[in-house]
Amino acid sequence: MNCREIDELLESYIRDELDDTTASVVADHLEGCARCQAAYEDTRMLVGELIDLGEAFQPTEAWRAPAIAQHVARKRPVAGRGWVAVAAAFAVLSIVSATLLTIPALARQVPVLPVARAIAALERDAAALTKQVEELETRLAEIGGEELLLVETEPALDEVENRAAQEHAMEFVRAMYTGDIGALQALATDELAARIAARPDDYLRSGGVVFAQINNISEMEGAYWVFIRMSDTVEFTDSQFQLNISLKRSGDGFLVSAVEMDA
Amino acid sequence: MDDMMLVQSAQKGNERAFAALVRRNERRLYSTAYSILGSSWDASDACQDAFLEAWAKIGTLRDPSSFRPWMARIVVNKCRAAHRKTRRLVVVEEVPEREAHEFIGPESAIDLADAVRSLDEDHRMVIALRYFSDLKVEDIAGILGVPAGTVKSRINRALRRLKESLGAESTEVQQ
Repeated sequence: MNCREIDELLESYIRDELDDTTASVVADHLEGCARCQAAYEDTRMLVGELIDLGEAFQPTEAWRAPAIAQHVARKRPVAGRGWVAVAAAFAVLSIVSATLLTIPALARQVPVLPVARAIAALERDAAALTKQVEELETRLAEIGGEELLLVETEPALDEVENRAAQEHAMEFVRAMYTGDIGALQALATDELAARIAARPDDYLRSGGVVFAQINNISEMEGAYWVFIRMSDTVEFTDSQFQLNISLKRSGDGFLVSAVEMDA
Repeated sequence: MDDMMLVQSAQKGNERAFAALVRRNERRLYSTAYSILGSSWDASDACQDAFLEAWAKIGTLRDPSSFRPWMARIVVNKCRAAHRKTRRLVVVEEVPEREAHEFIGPESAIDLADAVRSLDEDHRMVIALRYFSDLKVEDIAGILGVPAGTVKSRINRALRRLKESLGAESTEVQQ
């Protein structure tokens, strides 16, 4: 074998995955070839460092084994014959409902079925939503250096106030995730600041943010409500929720007076 | 208790055995996912999903000794799904965040981690599966759906690029 062929085999030789004959050919070549010997040493060191690198990233608490174990405790693997009957029944139901849902015309002919009533209700909702969407004005605005998609649902809201309210709400969200109790309290009314001091864990989120998007901001009885669609790593993947942040006027700016979480 | 016994125990519904498997394999699988996706939180999500799927399907694993390649295949599939999802997602506002891991390796390994990150996806993938997930060439070939020869040549090419990249860095430092 020439040096080029030996070079191609070095990695497998280092991982001890060559058959005995080929391994001894490589070993003999390395004995008599200083250049290949040097390449072997380089590769061996690099492979060792790469294997070590696989252990160098320690995941943080958010998704480690206990969290998984806790979650899986509620979702045990399927076992036992009882499941066969349940699965079969479910399969039949799925076929029936899939047929009705995929062929709405068929479902409509059986108006007593819940699915037919549901289709009718959904169609009414869809028509109403389509009308709403047509009425909404969508535009881009720059807030805090970021381009944000704004969907104006309350055209009466003053643009400057709208922006200030959104910035204030986002500051509050940042503080929730960076664990900054002082900042949370500074951004809140005295009443809420006291509640934060009493129960800080209710206002801090330990995971990271996947995305945070302001969906809507509206004025209700003198208070502003900022509705933020969120996804973070505290819950399991794909969990999304809505953060509703209520703001009250304070001098030229705002203070957060309440925080709610919605599905 | 070795992985095989833990797998057999988990297959009988033992959650603690499964949790032990998670703990044993989490770093290597996370490193694999992180190399493929390049984002620590996406990698964390992919691993979390992969472990949940593994728990749900562990009864279907016929050969308990093949847990590692089986698990790596699930992680790679989750990473591919995450890739597809990321391409569709337009992030409108993102709050600055910490990483989903602590780097506990030696300082000298940071350059190597950067060099791995700079490889293209095909080569990053084989490096991650070969060294981080510690798989055999045949297992990697099965996961990626390419011939073993292709995996070998990608590994050799990736190692050459890493050597070049690290060599270039040390030359820059010397200058």
